[in-house]
Amino acid sequence: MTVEEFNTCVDMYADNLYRFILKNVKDTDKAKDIVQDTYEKLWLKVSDVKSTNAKSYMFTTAYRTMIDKFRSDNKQERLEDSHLYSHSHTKQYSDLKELLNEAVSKLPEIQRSVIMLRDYEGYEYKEIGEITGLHESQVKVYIFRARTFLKKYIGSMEAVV
Amino acid sequence: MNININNYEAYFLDYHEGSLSPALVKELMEFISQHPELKEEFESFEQVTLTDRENINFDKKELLKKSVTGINAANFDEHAIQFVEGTLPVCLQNELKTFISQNPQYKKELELYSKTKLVPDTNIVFEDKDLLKKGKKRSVVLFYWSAAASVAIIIGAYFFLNRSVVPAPNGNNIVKHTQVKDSNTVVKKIVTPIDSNVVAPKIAPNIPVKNAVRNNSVALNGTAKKRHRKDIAVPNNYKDETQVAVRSKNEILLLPFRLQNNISLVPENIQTTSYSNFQDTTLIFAWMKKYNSVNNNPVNYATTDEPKDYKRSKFLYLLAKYTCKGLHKITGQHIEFQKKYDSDTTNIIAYQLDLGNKKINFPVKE
Repeated sequence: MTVEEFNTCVDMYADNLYRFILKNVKDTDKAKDIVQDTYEKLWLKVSDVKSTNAKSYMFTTAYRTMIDKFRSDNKQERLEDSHLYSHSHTKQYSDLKELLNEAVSKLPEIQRSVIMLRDYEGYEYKEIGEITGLHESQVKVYIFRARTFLKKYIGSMEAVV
Repeated sequence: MNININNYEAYFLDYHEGSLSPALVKELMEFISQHPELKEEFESFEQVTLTDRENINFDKKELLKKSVTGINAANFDEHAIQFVEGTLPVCLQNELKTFISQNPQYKKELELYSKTKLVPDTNIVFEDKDLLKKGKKRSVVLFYWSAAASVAIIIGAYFFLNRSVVPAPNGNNIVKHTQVKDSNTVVKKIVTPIDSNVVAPKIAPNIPVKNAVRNNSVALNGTAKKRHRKDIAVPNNYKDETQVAVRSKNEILLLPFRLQNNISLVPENIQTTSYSNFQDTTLIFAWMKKYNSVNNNPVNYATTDEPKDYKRSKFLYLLAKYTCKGLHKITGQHIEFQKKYDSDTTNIIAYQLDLGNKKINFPVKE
């Protein structure tokens, strides 16, 4: 990858990467740090990584960096079964987007990551598996569970509103 | 021969389909050699094979298929999610529509699933993309400003380093370049202002400088005027200087130091030559700095190599060097400031600004 291609990667993917990380870590400074770390790691491997693989490389690197950060911060969230149905009905939502964001934030980290990679970036199940280190069938299971949860969450909120 | 002008096409076809026996192949070849006008027709048979049959496909097969199990209440969620994911086969999409039309209560369920499709928030952007970029794609404005600032600093440092010393109007403060020679020492440079009130210290002719160095515990520093440690003998060949010669504005900077030490010792037996440039000032500074140490004295200084980098020039050199380093960090462009030494004398002959593809030299005045 040339320097020009690297800089093109910055223009093309920095926003996507930042969005993906920010939705997970919910902290702008940490998200920026991870994005910068990711591009620094890409820069170190700039001669080895092809521009066609750069996006996958960056998402993989960013995801793993994020997981490491979660572990170091002891912020790994595990969704309990009861959590699925313990929706807070006190908050008012102005639109579906806000409601959906709230629902996504309640997903376990792994489900949130795979569904965002699927919907935001349009990755295939196999590619998501490569990024997250999961088997393709596991990816499908997590996406199935995530959509089921989101659908129930939205449904319950709409019923309240 | 069975092959003749009326049936040769059949033999041509069999040959190209590979169904001709070796004997008949031999017979066919003989026939062609006897009828060369048919050779072109024989070869053209090779080009009539159709090869693109694999590319013609019926692309509506999915529409014709039927699901094995059919969509029902038990597997509705699975199919609905596949529909939202875009992975539901076309035949099942039709079945799903049929199922919903027959069971309207599932229409709402399918709508809810459709709403779970996330849409990226384009308002969330990474604003500091320029910080991530490398090389030429950096901000052009930032680069040129940085380059201009670095050049200005380098040029400023160059003129400051090379400016001439302004002689005092009374003529007594001419700087002299002196050399001390001794059998046990190499030639050394010492600079001192000439003043009629200054009595040059004497180096006893019978005592080599090397020995004097060995007895260098002469307390020549100290803030108290002319206060020497009594337990240490002060050779007669030294005398304190009480008059300070200020030869340039720059030397004002040195005044507190000189006044504090209040010492300027000059070895005797000196050949003096006129010498006046910034090196003198730095030599004085370095020399006086030596006095600030108990373990150093003029003799000691006279027997050691003179320092190559003096405080001021070193400070300015480091300033320029680290400025360039900082600019390199900011811009990503190769910018380096370095010294160039004479290979023979190891003296600094120039300061070099290295811009990668261009090098600018600032020669040091002799």
